[in-house]
Amino acid sequence: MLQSIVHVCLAGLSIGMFIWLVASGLTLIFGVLKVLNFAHGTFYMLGAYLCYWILGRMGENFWLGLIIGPLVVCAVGFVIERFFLRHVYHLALPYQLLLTFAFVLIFDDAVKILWGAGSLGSPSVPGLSGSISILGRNFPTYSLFIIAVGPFVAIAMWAFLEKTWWGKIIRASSSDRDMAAALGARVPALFTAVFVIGTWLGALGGGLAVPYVGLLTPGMGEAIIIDAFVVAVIGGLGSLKGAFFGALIIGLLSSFGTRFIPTFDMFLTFILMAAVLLWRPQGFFGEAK
Amino acid sequence: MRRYALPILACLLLAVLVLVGILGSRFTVYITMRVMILAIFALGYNLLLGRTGLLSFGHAAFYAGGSYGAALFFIHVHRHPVLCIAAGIVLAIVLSVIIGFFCVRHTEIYFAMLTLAFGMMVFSLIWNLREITGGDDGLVGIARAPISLWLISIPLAKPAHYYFLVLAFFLISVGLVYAIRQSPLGLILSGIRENDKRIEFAGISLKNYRLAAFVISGGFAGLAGALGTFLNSNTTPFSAHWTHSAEPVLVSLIGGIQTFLGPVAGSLIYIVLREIIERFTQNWMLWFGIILLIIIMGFRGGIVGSIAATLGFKSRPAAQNEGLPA
Amino acid sequence: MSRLILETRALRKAFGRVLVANGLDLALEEGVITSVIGPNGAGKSTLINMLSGLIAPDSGDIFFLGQQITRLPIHRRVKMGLCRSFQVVNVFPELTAFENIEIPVLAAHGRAARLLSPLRGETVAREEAGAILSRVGLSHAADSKANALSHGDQRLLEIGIALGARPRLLFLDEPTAGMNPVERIKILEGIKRISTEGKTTFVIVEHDMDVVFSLSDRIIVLHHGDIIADGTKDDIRSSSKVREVYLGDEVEE
Repeated sequence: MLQSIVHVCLAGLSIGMFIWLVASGLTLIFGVLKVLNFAHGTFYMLGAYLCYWILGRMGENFWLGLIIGPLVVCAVGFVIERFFLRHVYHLALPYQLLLTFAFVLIFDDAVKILWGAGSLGSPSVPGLSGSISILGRNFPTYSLFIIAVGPFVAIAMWAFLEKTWWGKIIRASSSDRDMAAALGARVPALFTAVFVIGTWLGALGGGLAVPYVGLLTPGMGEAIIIDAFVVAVIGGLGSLKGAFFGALIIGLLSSFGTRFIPTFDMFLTFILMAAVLLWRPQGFFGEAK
Repeated sequence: MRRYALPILACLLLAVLVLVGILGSRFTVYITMRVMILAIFALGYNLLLGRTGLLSFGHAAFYAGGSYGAALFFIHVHRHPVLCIAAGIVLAIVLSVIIGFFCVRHTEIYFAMLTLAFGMMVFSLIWNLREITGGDDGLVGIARAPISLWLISIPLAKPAHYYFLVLAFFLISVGLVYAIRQSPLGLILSGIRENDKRIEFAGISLKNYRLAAFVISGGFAGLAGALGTFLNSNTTPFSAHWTHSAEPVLVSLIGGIQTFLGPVAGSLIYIVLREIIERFTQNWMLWFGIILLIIIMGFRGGIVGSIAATLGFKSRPAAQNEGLPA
Repeated sequence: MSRLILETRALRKAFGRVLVANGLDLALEEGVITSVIGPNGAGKSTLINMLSGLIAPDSGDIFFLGQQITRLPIHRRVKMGLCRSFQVVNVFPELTAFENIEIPVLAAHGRAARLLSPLRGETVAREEAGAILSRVGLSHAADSKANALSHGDQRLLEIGIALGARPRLLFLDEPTAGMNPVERIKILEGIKRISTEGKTTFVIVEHDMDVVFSLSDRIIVLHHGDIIADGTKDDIRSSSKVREVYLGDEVEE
């Protein structure tokens, strides 16, 4: 029994940390730019496919793929922000959302063109493949890796935002854009930088997903964006702390659900979201309206 | 002369539609029905998007509600097409009241996200409840039984016959949407779009009126879904997927979200364009993504908006080219 | 004429450590034009925001026409007759001036929810909207979009929208801000005229002492969340506390 619970918890933690990795970029972009990037799931997917491709072409080196893949996606993100998104900030919100959605359409098909519409099997990573025995049952090593990476990224982001000069500027710009500009921050460049960083995080999540998800499909971006949205609502839109803990909760809930109430496990997530919306609409860590 | 532009256009449209039904080839009839059904979906949806200023990514759930509602009624209760359609609309409305209740109390971004999430929840429901919904196979065999009026029995089995039922619903929808746009409620919804913070101070409950717009558009989505079920004789869970939710958005934008007939024009363009693109490539999404990009970057008035502006139509107060606060 | 239209008891509000309303007790009489003045940061806007329902007080009660409204949503207060205008112009930009006023009038008549009958048929409401439009002097701009109006006209429209809801108590938040002298006089006279009609009681937040002294029957002075003076023009002019607070801040008239 204990073994079951521990394993379910660990599974939940790994799912949660995985979602956190993806949601962190979305939250960062929203927190600073106030733009909800529908294309974030697409960046995740691009990161995964690129990493996979590099893995295949450049000699089975996962780590290389993890470095190069997200950088390439960053370039895409840069182009999107600098040449398109920047010109629609002054428009009503729906237009910004629809712009990012246009890129979802474009890249979803681009992936299909480049890699086909079918699914690709995910390879395993030497050194992190296989499993470790915990309390008598095997648990995938890679999942443990994810559980470790999650908090690492969280702490790195916290340190960056709280302790570095750049981080302070970013936080200032997100709470008062005009003031930050008056103080000398080059806000447009800053926004581009934040968007690129957020994109990088999403793509990194995608790269890390390659050995984790089992199958790469062109629909993987959509699946993960819903999870990221739910996490953002529960944690509080724009709050990184909220995204971290929200992801943990969702991961654990999902894991317990799958184990104990199979058919309806996804509803637990939605029910939680509905409950949060009713009783604490700004999320656990969001700013009250 | 310009005052009569809209009525003249409407009559022309009606004449063309009737002629297609009588003289059109099987393919033309089929395509036109698809256009009309999508137009019904988009006309209702645009009351929410263009009029009220709310972007929902979950309306496919209500389309699916209408679709599955009609199918389930057909299978378990009665085969009369109009009753089935009514049942579909009722289910769609119930769903939109429930989902709308959670969503309308939130600001734009949360609203968009929540509608997306709840919409996908409906998709998952449909996918997983195999025994009821047929899962990924959907429900099949939804035939078009004849409608009996007193002593006359109107057969609908032939597409050309069903066409006129669809046309009738299309005309009713166009009329209803027109009436709503011209009504006090229509003005209030414009007010919400223009300044949702001020509207409460004008004595309007923001939540209630947003919900009204949400449910009305959900009802039209349900009608479209039900008509779609009888068109194809089956249902599919993908009708609830969020990418299907994007269709009325895209279509309204192409046509012009601040115009009355924009969604209709957009539906025609979308379906025709898609047919053409799909002859050459599977990747129609890529092309529509590009079109959407172009529209947002430079042509937010859409086709109808741009044509109207070119022809020098002076904006009727609070009619064309308002744009969402641009 | 001395019926109490609004009462507050121990109204309190703090933003973090800043106390903007320190147990305010207010009693406003119907028909008495009241001005609320005070240096910046005195809590005037917060008071209006609490009374109109935009923000909730931390503690205390608000009574309107004898009824408890402390937690009542904004649109319900408006329906009861408690309205406000805004300091920053807050109109419906792409709608015409006429439509801007038509909206609250329709709501006040209970006709806002009609969805199948045409607007053109709402003659009663439309006549009233037209009347209000001419009251604020904007009949000439009836079919112009609100965002195409001059700043002064937009401020007039702002007040017109507030009037559209048939307020029994109307808070005007700096109604003459940014207006030239001619426009200012127009507003003053408009307020005086409407006040004498007896259906609307005005409470005005103002910085301009000309306006305050020429218009008000009663003046309330706020400072750091407290009422430091409350009375007629002469009371206020002769109050040493008020002088102290305003020394260097405003020119006294």
